[in-house]
Amino acid sequence: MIEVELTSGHKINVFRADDGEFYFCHGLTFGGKEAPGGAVSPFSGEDVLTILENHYERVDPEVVAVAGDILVWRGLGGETPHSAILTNPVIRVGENLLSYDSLLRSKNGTLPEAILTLEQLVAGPQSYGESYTVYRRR
Amino acid sequence: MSEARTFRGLQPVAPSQPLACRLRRKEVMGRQGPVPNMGEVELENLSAAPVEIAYWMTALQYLHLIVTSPDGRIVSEGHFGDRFAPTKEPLLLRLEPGEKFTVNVHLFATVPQTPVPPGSYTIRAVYEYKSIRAMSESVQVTI
Repeated sequence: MIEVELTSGHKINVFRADDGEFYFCHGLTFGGKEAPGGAVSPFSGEDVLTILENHYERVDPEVVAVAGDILVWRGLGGETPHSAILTNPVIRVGENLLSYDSLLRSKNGTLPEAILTLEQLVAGPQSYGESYTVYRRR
Repeated sequence: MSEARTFRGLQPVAPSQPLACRLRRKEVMGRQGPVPNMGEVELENLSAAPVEIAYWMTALQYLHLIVTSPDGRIVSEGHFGDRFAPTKEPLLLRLEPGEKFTVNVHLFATVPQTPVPPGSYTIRAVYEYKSIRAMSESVQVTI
């Protein structure tokens, strides 16, 4: 575990694997996989929330999301168990939510990065439920 | 004077488990209609003392969903929580005596093969945390 300072001046804790290569979803979503010296991943919960509060704004309604926006899932105890990058938002006329056909770049646990549909991430076997929020970098 | 005896064939009685783990099918409505193959895991504190479970990813990170295929092979791998990001400090699930904790789960969450081939599957939930090992009855699911 190492501490890093955000450009906003806030400090957060991040995970860095011994091999400097492994990262989990938040390392992909927030760019930590490109960190100098080896990939880093912000921890679920407080560290991710600090990034969101100081560098992102909520996209509401989510139907106005664009490619590059991110989705962050919430857990029962204040954790943020998953996040992914929206690569191809799909909108259905008359609907106020992203279509399940929307595509995201996601890194699920130890699996490699993959392009997945929103349906796979909210309703598939390896899904995280519908408790997500869309954010855009300020 | 007391006398100790050993009786052949008698097994030591396992200490009672403080947790019950239950698995049942559940109809879950997503925003685009019913989500297929969903279930609910329930943990209940059966003991007279609080049970505390420290976790870093999800309270179900110690859950195995063991899925047996129609030909009798176990086709599930790993833990339910393997795909979740960890927290820096552990979170605590505290169950008071008699308290229950329930969470929706996809019954094939630990099956790496997608799509899951058609057939009749048997699924059992096993929750293992430190000395606790609680196992549910099995649930049958036909795809």
